[in-house]
Order: sequence, then structure tokens, then C-alpha cells
Amino acid sequence: MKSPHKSLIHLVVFLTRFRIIATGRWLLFTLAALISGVASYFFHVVEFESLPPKTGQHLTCATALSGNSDVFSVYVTDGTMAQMAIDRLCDNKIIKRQYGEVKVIIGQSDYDTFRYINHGVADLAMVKSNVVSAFGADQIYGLTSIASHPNYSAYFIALREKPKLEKEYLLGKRIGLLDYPSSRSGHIIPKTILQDLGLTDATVDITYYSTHKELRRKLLAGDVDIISSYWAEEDSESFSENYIAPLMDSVSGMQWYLKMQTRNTDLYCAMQSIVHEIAMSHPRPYYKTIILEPGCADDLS
Amino acid sequence: MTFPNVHMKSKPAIFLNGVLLFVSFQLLACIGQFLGAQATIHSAIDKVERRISLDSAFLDVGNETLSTPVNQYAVVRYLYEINDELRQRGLPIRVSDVQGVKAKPETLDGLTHLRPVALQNAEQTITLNLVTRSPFFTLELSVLAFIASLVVLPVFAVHSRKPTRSHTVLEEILPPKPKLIINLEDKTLSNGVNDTVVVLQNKPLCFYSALVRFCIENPGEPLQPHKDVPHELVNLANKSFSRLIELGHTKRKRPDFNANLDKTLSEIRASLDEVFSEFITEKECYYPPRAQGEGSRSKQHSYALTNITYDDIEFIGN
Repeated sequence: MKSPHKSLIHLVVFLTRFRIIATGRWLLFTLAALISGVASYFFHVVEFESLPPKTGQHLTCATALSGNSDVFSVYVTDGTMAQMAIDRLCDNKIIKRQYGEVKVIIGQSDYDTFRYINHGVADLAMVKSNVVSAFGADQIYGLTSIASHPNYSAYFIALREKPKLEKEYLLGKRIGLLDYPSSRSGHIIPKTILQDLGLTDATVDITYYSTHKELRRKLLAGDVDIISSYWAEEDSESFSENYIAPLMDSVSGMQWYLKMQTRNTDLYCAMQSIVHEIAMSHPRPYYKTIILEPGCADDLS
Repeated sequence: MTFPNVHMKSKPAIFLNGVLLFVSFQLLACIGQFLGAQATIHSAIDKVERRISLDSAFLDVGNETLSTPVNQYAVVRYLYEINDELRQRGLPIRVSDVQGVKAKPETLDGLTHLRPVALQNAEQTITLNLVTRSPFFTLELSVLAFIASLVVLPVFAVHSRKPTRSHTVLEEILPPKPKLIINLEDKTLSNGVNDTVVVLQNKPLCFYSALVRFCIENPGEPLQPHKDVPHELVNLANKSFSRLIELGHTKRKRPDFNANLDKTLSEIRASLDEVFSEFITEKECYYPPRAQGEGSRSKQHSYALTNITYDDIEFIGN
């Protein structure tokens, strides 16, 4: 008979050998499972690059104009006008001679206009005269008017009756105005009139909107009773000219300004010529009338 | 090299093992895929949040403090631009709305998993909703899991020795059972588990081995101290003594087993006490019962071993 002691030794040796075999199998299983999981993770994980800014809108020429590194900056608030400007400026021989690049910035808000004009960024800009004069950009940067679109009037426009500029009439009316404080027809003039009539935010229901277009939409939709805006030719399709009340006759029109820090008369005349071309081909009737400032030999107006 | 101990499992068992392995690995792969997709979406959200945080300073999202409204046109345009960029870069995310201004549904590319975000600056809180792909949509069958199960399957296709192991372990765990070993060659008693060995004198040894045999063959037969020892028992004891003579342990004439019975039993009990000192329970089986208390002279008392069988005992040199 085998002694108990010997049996025990055999048992221990056997068990150890067995444990190694069994553990190896599950070790392999765990390893394969881990590899499956970790590799799947790395197959599915994607790290993205940062996104570029999506707010500033500007147009540039397709190719560099010359070795000159100076950039000619143009500030407008209308997309159509920006495209017209870049096409003509990139092709202009005076620009090509003096600058290496043209950048047309399309302003999105009052804030943009304020910054680009009053920080002296824009070389050529189509803006309202009050923006230029507000912080003396004309004096600081030599912003000179080269052409003007006609003056216009500001009106209260209603849908079903002619608005009266009387306190009693306007009391409790829902009035749509523009939210940006540089707007004359949509903000400054109507608020001045309301103030003069002794009406406050508490006595009339003022709602602010972002654009003249939005004001018209809200009036048509019946969200407001009266809006304050300019009167454009195309407005007669939607509204009646009988239901408008003039607030101020002569609001100075949009003007083209050129930064004239030197007596760069070639550029002055070249820009007048381009501005005239843009005005003539712009689809909006308002822009088709343009008065050029004198000073160029071949006066286009 | 051969593996004499390797036994393949049956084909259905191997197939089942393969399926289970694949399911296990696929499960892990799914967890990996899910976490990967989750991390991807997280990274995309970070990028978009950062972009909008920076852009919101230049975007007319209105201003609570100044009571100015959101510029719907500008925001819709912005949403179009950013969603277009996200599509081109293949990010699994779109911006659904900013300050309540919704993007055109077609720019969202069918993404629906809504994730609201609030960006706070000094003057207001800008709320936006992002839509992402659900991380569950990315779960798919993993080729890697399939390959891994094919690689590991051979190891699981052979029989595991697990059942043998558990049986052995059971044996190992149970303490060994002591068994009385009567060794006539050495004139000893031992228990078969530890090394305790007790040498007995000839008379008690012969009498005890005879008693064990007598009790196994005549179960239930009472052995009363006040009566004579039964003939059969005396014969068995004499036989044992003859065997001792054969083995050369003694040349003396055989003793009278009827005489000094109490003393003989006492010696036997003392030896058993010593042999089974660590196994009190097991000792009962081998221990000639003592007379209890007042009835020590009782006629009912029997020193017979009542529960003993041949399985409980081992004779050496018989």
C-alpha cells in the first residue's frame, strides 16, 4: 500500500500542474477579451480638430494682386454689394498697383459697424453718416465721403389705417422698432418722437426686431400695429402708401467713405468709379441713385 | 511531441464553445465600441461648445440685459454654416437651435439624440441644443471578436480536467477517517491517520482482537462481566495467542482469559484512549463500554462492541 504521505505529495504536484493549465486557458480568454474591447474602443474613438470661426464674413480676391503686403479693407453690410465690390476691386488697376490684397468685410450688426469704422479698420466703407461722426472717425482717420445715396424719410407704417402722431392715438399701441441704436428711421427718430409726445415704454408696447425686413413681416403678421421704418418703392406691393405717417423728412442716406490719410487722388477717383458702377447694377432701386462728391476729372454723375 | 492526456470534446460541444467565446468577445467589443463612440461624441460636443462660446460674442444672439432680441436671420445663417462645417468634417453632431432659433431640419442630417447646453456669460445665459448620434447606433458585429474566438477556441476544444479536480479537492478538504489497525506482528494498536502507536501486552492484545471479531460476527450478543466469557470468544482469543506464538512473540502457555477480565478491559481501554486521543468520536466504535455509575455490577451491563464492522478495522499479521 502507498503511504499516506506519498499520496499527499502526488496530490499536491498534480493539483499545481492542473492549476497552471486551467489558469493559462482563462488567462488567454481574458487577454483575448481585453484585446477585443480595447481595440474596438480605439477603432471607434475619433478625435476632432478645432472648428474654425463661423461668424466673421469676408471676401477676398482669388489670387494675390502683387508682392505688396498691404490689404485694402472694405466694409459693407449688404452681401450682394460685397460680391459686386470684390469683383470690381480685384480687377482694378489702381488697387493692384497700391495693394496686395482686398478684403471685403460683410458687417452683421451695429456692433461690427461701430468697431470697423471707429477703430479705423476700413479703407472704404458704406455706412450711415451718424456712425462716422459719432466718434469722430472722419477726423481721426480722415474718412471722407466720396458718394451718397439720397436722403430718405422715416415713417410710421400701419396696415389698416393711417397712424396719427398723437399721444392719445398711440397710447396702448403695439409698436415695432429696430433694436440697434444707430438706426435713424427704425430707432432714433421714432423713440425721439415718442419721448416728445410724453410716451414711455410703460405706456406704449414697444417690441424690438433685428432688421427692417423683420419689421415688415411682423406688421403683416399682425404681431404689431405700427412699425417705424423708411418707405421703399417695393413696399407699395405689401402696404398702402395712404397708411404711412412721416416722422422726419430728410434722413441722410447711406454714404461711401474712403480713408484719406494721404492725398491719394488716384484711389479716390478709382473708388468713385467703382462705387458708381456698383450703384448702377445693384438690384435695389434705392441704391441706383447716387451722388458723387466732386474732385475727379471725369465726373461720372 | 504527443499529448496523451489531451482529449478533444465532441463537435457540438466545440461549436457551442466557439459561439460562447464569440458572444463573450463581441460583448466586450460592444462595450469598447460604445465607450469609443461615447468618447467621440464627447470630443465633438467639446469642439462645438468651444466654437459657439467664442462665436457668440460676434453673433447677434440678443442680450437680456440690453433687452435686444435674437437676430433670427443671423442665427439661422450661423446654424447653417456651422452644421455645414460639421458635416464636411464628419463630426457626429449638429447644432439644433441657439436661443430658441431652430436650424432647418435638413441640416441636422437625421441626428436626434438631444443634448442641451447652457453657456453663461457676464450678461446672460445662452441656451443651445445639440443633436448627436446615439452611441448605441455605432454597435456592430466585430470582426476582431470573431478572429479572437477562432484563436482561443482550440484551447477550449480539449477536455478540461475540472471534474477530476473538484473531486480531488473534495477529498483533500475532508479530514482522513481514522481506522483501528491491530498489528499482531508488532503487537500494536494504531489509528491509520497519525503516528500514534501503542504497544499492548499479549493477553489484552489477544483478548481485544478476539473481542472485535466476536462482536462483528455476533452482533447484539451481550457480554456481561459477571458471567463467564463465552466459549467462542475464548477460542478466538486462544487462536490469536497461537498466532503470537507463531510470530515468535511468546513461548509461554496461554493465559486464562476468564481471569482478571476487568483488568484486561482496563488495559485495552487505556490503550484505546491513547490511540484515539485526537479522535474522540471515532473511539466510541472501538471502546468496550464501561459500567456506568451505581449499576457497575448491574446485570444489564455489557462490554460488547455494538457498532463495529470489518470495514472499521484492519488486521496486520493475522
